Amino acid sequence: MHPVAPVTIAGIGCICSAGLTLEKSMTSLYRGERRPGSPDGFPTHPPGAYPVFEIRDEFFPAWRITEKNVMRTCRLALTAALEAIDNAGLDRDFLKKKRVGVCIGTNVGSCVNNEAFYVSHREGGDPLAAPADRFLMSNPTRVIAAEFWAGGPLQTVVNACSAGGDAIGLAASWIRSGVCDVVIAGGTDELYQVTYTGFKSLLIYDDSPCKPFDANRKGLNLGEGAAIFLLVSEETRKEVHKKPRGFVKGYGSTTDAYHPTKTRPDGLGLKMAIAEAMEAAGVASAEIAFVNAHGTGTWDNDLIESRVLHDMFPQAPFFSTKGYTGHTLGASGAIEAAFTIACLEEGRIPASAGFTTPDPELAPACPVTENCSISGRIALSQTLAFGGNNAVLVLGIEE
Amino acid sequence: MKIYIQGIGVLGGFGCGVAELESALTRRESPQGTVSMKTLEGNLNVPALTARTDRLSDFVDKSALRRLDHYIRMALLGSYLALEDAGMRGLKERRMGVILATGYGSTCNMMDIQQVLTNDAPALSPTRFSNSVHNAAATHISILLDEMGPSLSVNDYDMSMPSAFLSACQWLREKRVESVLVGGVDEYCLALGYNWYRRYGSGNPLKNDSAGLTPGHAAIGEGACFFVLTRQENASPYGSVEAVRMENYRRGRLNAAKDAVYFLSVDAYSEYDDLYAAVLPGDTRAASYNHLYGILPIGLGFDVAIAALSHKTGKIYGSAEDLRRHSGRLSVIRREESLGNRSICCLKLGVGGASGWVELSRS
Repeated sequence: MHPVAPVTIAGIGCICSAGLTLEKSMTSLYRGERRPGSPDGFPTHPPGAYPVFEIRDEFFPAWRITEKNVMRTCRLALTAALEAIDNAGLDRDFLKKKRVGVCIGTNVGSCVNNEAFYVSHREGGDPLAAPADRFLMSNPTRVIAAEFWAGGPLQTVVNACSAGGDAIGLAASWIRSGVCDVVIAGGTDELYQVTYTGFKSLLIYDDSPCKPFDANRKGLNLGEGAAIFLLVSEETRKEVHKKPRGFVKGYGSTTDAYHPTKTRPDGLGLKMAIAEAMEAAGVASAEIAFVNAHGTGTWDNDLIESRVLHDMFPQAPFFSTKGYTGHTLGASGAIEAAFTIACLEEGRIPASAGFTTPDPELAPACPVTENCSISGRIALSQTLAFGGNNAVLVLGIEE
Repeated sequence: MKIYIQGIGVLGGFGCGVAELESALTRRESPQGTVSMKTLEGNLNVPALTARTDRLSDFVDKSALRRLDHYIRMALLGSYLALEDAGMRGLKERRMGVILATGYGSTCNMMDIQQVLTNDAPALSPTRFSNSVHNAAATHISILLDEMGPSLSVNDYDMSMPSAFLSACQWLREKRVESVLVGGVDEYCLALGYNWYRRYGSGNPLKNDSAGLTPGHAAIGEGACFFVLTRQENASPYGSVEAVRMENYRRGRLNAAKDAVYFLSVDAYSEYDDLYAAVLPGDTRAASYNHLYGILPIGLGFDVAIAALSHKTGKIYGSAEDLRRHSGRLSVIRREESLGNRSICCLKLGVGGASGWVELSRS
């Protein structure tokens, strides 16, 4: 991989339990606010035993959306997409004139998860025979394409927890290669009974608010949300009157080839992904102002991630935002990339929520414990996933 | 930059491997079986083109397969067959990418999980959960091949295969990888069988929503099709991937390749099947082969495999007879004929006006 051209981020939208927009989320992060609670959207056994980071406010701007009869994951994505388009100072008419692609990472919102389909059949119902309709109502990529009249490539990335980061990296390559003028890219996921029950079955779900990188960490908490990036070509950028939010400078991805749910102990997969992203961006380790880590609060992830960060970026402060948002699965890579750009703009990173007690096995690599000023215009956002997927984005803002 | 198909791995109702696919093409039929299901009108046997994975034990120790379901096994077997066909089995490739497409995903596993969750105190098995994660099949491919290159799982219903090919070509052109193992897998499950019943199988014709299609044409399919792609300069008999396009024909005209033969990925479920004749020039030479592999969202992958075989053998195989009702003014290839220097465009028109195609030409 050789250095590649940076791709312009014209606008960003973000929604999560920390806030219904990117700006509100960042304000909440800097205030150190955390809002874990019992899940409202599905039954739990026993009720409310494990905290989630749920979006409890009404968020969906139905009066601005045509595609209303869609699942919550799609509504989250549409809400963030509208914010991204507004943020770029663009509108639907502008997009209609462009070759627009859509690349979205998700777990819950892919065609595969069609709960209504399975439940109806399971209960002996007599559902209508229109599989395409049923499958596609759950697919945020198709829903966004229909809403914004996108006529270019569509891709729903289902790389588990790295899907949102992967989607942004893949979308950037569509822009570079000239396949698209604009790509609506990001990640989205809602809270879901299958993932909630599944993570509990793996004994990696903390029954208290999660504590990434802490000595007493017990696992993750699930969250929900979406973040959407509006990526544009250099030609299209000339028609955008607002200043770009930033740039996707590099992307790297690998697989651990080790275990379906465990992180490779030597961290080799993550190191290779970081190396690819840095090489693509053409930047050196010393140029990285900070790292927005995956930091789930699970024992293995935090141990291996912290060791890799200490090896590769000994000078760079790092933090996890999972303590503010929960683990939003397919959305996490995109939400954390959005936070990364916002932190670069602000020149400040938030305290790593939930971290109080250093883990001797992680030391001297500890996340920041309070809001910190940073200098520099380039940062790294990384996500690790089931299946051993590692996705790393090198992001920057204008000099 | 040319991108070559170096190997193909296929399994489905027609059998297992390129030779059995070619045999089915020559015979113009697959050995169709049935699956049984309970319906509101009693037990019913419906036609199905299902896949067997017995040959996986030629490649992988049985102990490694113990916890892997049929969906993952199909993906693994397709991968090994493609690598074997490319002469790359056992070779350690320098940075190979893995891309897996699926339209339905691991449907049997997901149905079982939904069943578990109806219990008062659901106890989900960790293995069942980890196999339900949508990149599980790609994960097991990477683990068993010990391949640490980039891995991508995509799920775009009827556009899953064009989407996967698009990324495979991008990765090779960007020189992110030296080769890509790209493929698709879809699995039959009872819920999909139920769909077939609702469309074609009810004893009460008024309840059917079959759009006039016959059950014989609309056999349920499952299987896997994988390809090894490289950008090596040495040409491959299977030909090269000339172009991959994803567009929306409602947002502008279809930028169809001129003078190409078209393999139409009709699926019998979609009302868009009849639009192929409308979006292509009237005298386009066209064929369809889903009578050999059945109805499944990744069907275009099998068309690409057949197109590659056509380049290797220099002939186009006779099309499904049922294509006539979709063909309109198109010129259907009814009997085997010479391919000549023509390229082959595998085209899928999908839901919402989406279109995707993969064009193959002789190396």
